[in-house]
Parts: sequence; C-alpha cells; structure tokens
Amino acid sequence: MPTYAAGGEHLPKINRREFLKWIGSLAFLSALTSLFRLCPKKEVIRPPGAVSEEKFLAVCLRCERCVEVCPRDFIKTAGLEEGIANIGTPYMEKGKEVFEHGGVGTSIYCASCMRCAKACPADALVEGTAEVDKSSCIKCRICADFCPIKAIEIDEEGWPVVLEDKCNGCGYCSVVCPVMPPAIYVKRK
Amino acid sequence: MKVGKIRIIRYTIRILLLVLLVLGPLGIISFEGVFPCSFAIFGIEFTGPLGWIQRVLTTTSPLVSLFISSLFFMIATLLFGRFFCSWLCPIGLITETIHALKEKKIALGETYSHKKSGKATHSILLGRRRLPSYLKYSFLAAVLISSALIKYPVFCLICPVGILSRNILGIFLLQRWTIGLIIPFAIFLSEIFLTDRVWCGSLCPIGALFSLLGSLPTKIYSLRVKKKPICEKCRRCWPKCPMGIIPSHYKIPDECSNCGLCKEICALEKVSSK
Repeated sequence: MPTYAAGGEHLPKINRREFLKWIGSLAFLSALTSLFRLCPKKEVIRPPGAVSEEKFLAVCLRCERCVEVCPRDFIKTAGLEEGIANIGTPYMEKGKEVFEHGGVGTSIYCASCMRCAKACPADALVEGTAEVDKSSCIKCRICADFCPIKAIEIDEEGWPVVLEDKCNGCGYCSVVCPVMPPAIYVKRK
Repeated sequence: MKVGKIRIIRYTIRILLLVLLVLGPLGIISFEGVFPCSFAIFGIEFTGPLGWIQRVLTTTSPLVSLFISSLFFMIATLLFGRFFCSWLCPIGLITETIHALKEKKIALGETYSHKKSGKATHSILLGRRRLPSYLKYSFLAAVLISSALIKYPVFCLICPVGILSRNILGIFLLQRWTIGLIIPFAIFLSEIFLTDRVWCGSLCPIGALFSLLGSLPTKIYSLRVKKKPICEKCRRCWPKCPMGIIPSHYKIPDECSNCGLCKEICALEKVSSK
C-alpha cells in the first residue's frame, strides 16, 4: 500500500512516535499563538455599555450585531489599522465627518440609544441603570433636566429618582452632573 | 457523471446560507450576525460551540446564554457526526467546488490528452501530499491552551469561516475588503495549487472539535461500509473523500462529515447510511 495519511485512522492505533509528534506540534503551535501577546495594543473607543477593555476583548464574539443595529452607523468593525488585537471588534470613530448633503457634523455624538447593548449576545456590551449617590448629590436637578428620555424625576424632598423601567443606562446624567466625581452614575447589571 | 441526491441537498443548504448572509445585512431577511460565531434567524439565537468554549476559557465563567444558543450545533453534531463541514460551512463549499472542478479538469485531460496528465496531477488528485490529520487536534488544543493563558480568544482572530461570512457582502459589492480575507484566500489558493483540503482535513480546529463531539456513541446517522459485495479496490472513492478517509478500508472513522460522496461514486453500492 502507498503511504497515505488517512484521516482519523491515526487516532485509534496511535504509537509513541506519533504521540511525540502530536505533543511537539501542540507545543509549537501554542508558543506561536502566545507570541501574539507581544503585539502592540491600541486603544479605541468602544460602543456605550462596553465592559472593561480586558473583559471586552475576552468576551466579544466579533459577530458585528452591534454594528448592524446602530441606527446612525457610528459603530464600525475594527481592521488592521486599529491594532491586531482589536480586529473584528466594534469601535467608534472620532472626529468630524462630511455627510452626503455637504454638512459637517461630529460623528462621535452617540445618542446612547443602547440598541447595541440590547443586540449583544455576549456580555461585552451590557445595559445598566443610573444610581444616585445621596451623600454627594447637591439636588441641582440638572440630571433630570438633561435626561434625554426623561427617566429621572424629582421627589418632594428634591432628590433625583431614577425610573428603573425607563432608564437605559446611557450615562448622560453623569456627564452633566456638576459634582466631581459624579453623584449620579450608571451601574452595570 | 451522476450527481447524488445528498449532494444536491447539501449544495442547496449551503447556497441558501450564503444568500441569507448577503440578504441579512441588506435588511431583506431577518438574519443578523456572523455565521457561525453568533447569529439570529427570525429571532432564534445560534452560537458556534468553539466560540463559546473559548469565551468560557478566557472569562472563566460559564456564560449560560451562549451555551444554550450553542446547543443546536452540539446536539446536531452528537446526532449526525461532523455534519457541519459538508452541510453548512462556506469554506467547505468553496473547497468542495474547487475539488470537483479540479477533478473534472484532470478527468478531461485524461480523455483528450493522455500524455499531459502525468503522475503529478494524479498525486494531487489522490491527496498523497496531505498534511497529517492529527495536526488539527494539536491546533485545537493549542487554541484552547493559549486562549486560556493570554485571556484572548485567539482563534476568532484567524477563523476563516467567520472572516468570510463577515465580509461576504463586501466581497459581493466590491467595496469593503479587510486584511483578514487573506486567510480564506490562502485556503482557496492552497486548494487550487497545493493539495486537497489542507485546511478542512488537517488544520481546522472547528472540524477537530466536531470530530471529537461526533465520536461519541450517540450518532443516529453515519455512513458505513458493507462487508459484501467484496471491494474491488477500484480506488475511485479515495480522491473523493474531503477528509482524507479511505472508505474502501471497511471502517469509516469519526472524522467523516457525512457528505456521501463515496456513496455516490461507489459502483458496487457498498456504502450505506445507518
């Protein structure tokens, strides 16, 4: 018989030589893939609701569903320019953009509709709810005035109250909060 | 050359899947996501099992929702063996089509100019220069070990199936080419110029995972070789098998992807399905 490398038939009657070869190729390939760690990392802006960068890279499925669902096409898929480790993950572009009708706008102004977090099948983009830290809140009402979906109400004593069924965790309240660190912030589920 | 029923069904399924991948992003059909990483057809979620296993290793948490959506592939593999490679995978569609075209060209060369088709073409056809098939198990183990070590899903970076389905609309509309397309293109070139099924038969970790799952004794459908009539060793089935199995050896191993090509070619009708 000619020497054929028939699939699978190696496996049941594997001898020592084959096993050593297998282990050798395993070690070689593991070393090769671990070399990837040496690649330079590049920071990009993630879509709203992204978990910490390390966990994001570990859990993101690279399925592009956040890219597809974004109503204003802010979320893009990273290519080689965004660094090897980020290939296939979603990111948001910075800077001015010229639209089709000739007008110029800032493409980073994401309205935080959180559709991407709803579409994410993994835990890479998660929704959250705003929470008020009463120890530092100055009852200025700015968060309630600026909330884009009116999910913050003011109670009789003047404290802001987050309506949990309405809030989508966009985090705009923590941006406008005059206190530093913000007295209202988004807590991820 | 007759074309078997199974082959027609397989080509229909895979071409339908490609159509879904193109029509989904255009918003015509309710198909979202990338095959097989994570996609939803009419709201039903699917996840690739290798994607889930890598995420479990990188995050060290069970990720139950991904596990549930990856159950479809896992249960189907337990029942039908490594069916994914010949029935769903777009890379399998490309390599199988190239292989069929190559075979046809060599067959034509034999009939019309017998001198030109020398030993070289024959050895390509018969897959003599295949890489050893155990390499894919090494590759799978290496992928799992290194994703657990560096906390990064390594295989997703180079997965040709994901890259192809992520870019398929871009390929058709000729606008969005990404660097990752080099990998499916390299598989395409190796299929034309090197030997058969370098990727599918000996390198693909997805195939390795499905072969391991399909080797469990829960299969309800698999191809088997009848003892009678006695094989005449005509060797027509040898170049046919996409996974490099030699069906005339009476025992079909678990790497079989149930493509039914050996059943189609066998003149004695020795191969049957269980």
